[in-house]
Amino acid sequence: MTQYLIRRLILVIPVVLGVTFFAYSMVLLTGDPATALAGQHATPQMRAALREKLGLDDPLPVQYGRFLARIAQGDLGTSLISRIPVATELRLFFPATIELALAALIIAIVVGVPLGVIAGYKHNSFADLGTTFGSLIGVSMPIFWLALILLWIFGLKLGWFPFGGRIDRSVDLQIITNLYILDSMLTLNVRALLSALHHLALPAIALATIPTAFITRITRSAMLDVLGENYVRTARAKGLEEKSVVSRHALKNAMLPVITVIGLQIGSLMTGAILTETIFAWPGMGRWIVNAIVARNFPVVQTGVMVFALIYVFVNLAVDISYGWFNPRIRYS
Amino acid sequence: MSGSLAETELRGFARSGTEDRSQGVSRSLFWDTLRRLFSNKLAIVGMLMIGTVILVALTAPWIASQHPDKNGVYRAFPQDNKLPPSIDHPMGTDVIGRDMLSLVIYGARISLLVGVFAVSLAIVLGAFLGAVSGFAGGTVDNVIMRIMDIMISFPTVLLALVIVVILGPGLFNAMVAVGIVAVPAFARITRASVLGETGKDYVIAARSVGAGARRVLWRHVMPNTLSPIIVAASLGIATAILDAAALGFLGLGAQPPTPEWGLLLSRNRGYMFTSPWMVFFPGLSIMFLVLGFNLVGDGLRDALDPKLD
Repeated sequence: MTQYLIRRLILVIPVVLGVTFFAYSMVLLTGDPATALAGQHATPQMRAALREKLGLDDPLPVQYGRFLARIAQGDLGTSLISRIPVATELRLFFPATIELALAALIIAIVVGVPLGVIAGYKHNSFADLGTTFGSLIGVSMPIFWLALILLWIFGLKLGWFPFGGRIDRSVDLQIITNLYILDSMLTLNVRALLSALHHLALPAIALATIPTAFITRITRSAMLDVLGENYVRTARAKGLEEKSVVSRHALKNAMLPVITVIGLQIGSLMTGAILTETIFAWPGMGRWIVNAIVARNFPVVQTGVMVFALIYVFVNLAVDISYGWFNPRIRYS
Repeated sequence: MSGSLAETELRGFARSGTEDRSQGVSRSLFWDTLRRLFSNKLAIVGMLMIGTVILVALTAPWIASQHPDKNGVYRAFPQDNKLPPSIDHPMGTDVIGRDMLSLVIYGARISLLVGVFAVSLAIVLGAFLGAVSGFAGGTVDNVIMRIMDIMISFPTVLLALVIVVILGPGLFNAMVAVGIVAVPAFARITRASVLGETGKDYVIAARSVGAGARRVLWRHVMPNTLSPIIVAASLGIATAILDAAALGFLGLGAQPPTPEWGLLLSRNRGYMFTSPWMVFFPGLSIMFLVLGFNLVGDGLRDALDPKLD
């Protein structure tokens, strides 16, 4: 296992370097930072001076090296719009997105896995067809549309949920991690916890739709595969209760592909977060980056794009490692 | 092609052995797949859905009551322009009095075009990279696949956004961006199936009679890797339509007055609470078309993979 771990960790290094290089250089392709910085009334001389000062005339690898060195010191640059260090903004927006994404992922797992198990177990039944069709509708919906519809029904018509934001303005909450749910639990602030959950519910449900549908589908097909295996027949033949056959023998083995899909869903969660945050005025990274892209706010775009990609890389590394843990055969292939 | 033909026949033979022997006729993989596809009710529903949208897109000038570039009937007060659904305007009108149904009808052309163009681009680039990667192996394989790993690490809409900003906003660039974003998926799929095929006897046979690497790859191996690519293409069109709509929604895809569904949705978002029909119908249309491609993609996968029966 240790050897497998080391091998996987070594493999991830070029990807991490590639991702940071991509994030850095791709953003430079979107335009000249000096032009954006100097403003539209700057003379060519001013721009040239700025380019020189920022080191933008150096070869790309040199610039990239400097970029890495700065990151290593925790310096992510300064936002061109707000003039606040990007690292400070990141600490503000990152937890909001993590909170939203985790809540959505929990909903997706809690809803998707049981639905998939039932659909797979009762193959071709009415429940199976319903779940299959329902999950297909789930993956086919534009998430921004669903979010707007949810907002219209549950926000406007029924008035059950607020229209946006993370917490009521009237609620005092001592910020520790900026994960409002966690902070309110740590400070035993029930009012803040309820308010934060109240605000989180609708965006999290909207964001959870696609992952729920995917997890349902993959759990269903994994269950179908596993239920046809000899060891399931053996378990039944030796007289085990059906409940135990499903939960102890089938489900446990069906979980491997499900875990992989959960890892892969991180990417779609991040994409979904970009759209969901825009609609629910959720002050997270998605909204932050989209605004920065439109405003050509280079340091923010570089950091945001990089952070999103690194989350994906490391979650999938964790998935790979857990895979090797669950299935020893993989370690030696 | 002799190798691939023999392979196809063998598969057909194996299949007719496992199920309905009664027919006893050897079929080609193509007809076999088609028959399976048409016995799948959900896939037929999907095909009907796509067919409807294609028909609507082709006949748009005749069935739409209004061209999208024309304004509607102006009324004295702006709020009177937003008519709720009625017999004259089954989907209502938008804020400048344009008939929503006509906009949605013309929008069908755009979404179909986006889906097909983006996926074609992704297949051409992805299948080429994947085939070369799987066939060449070694350093070439490593370099190409690591680049794909890196690309796949970026959230699709985010990557597409950055590409659109580089190329400039607009429908065509959005299609290119959505296509590029889908390249790694096709590269991975093609590589995997090329790797699966290269060890087979017919490839060794082709090589032993002196076929060059290029000929073996494109004439013998590639035709046999098509089924996973076809499945991925159908599902990929669904994703591409959603991604392009998301770009339109964020304002960096199609530009007004193009009646692109995502753009229509985003332009009318501000009137969501007073005139929900302006948001409801474009979104419903996106879902309808995407669902159609997903149903057909699922059906194709089941039809091409006899294991699942």
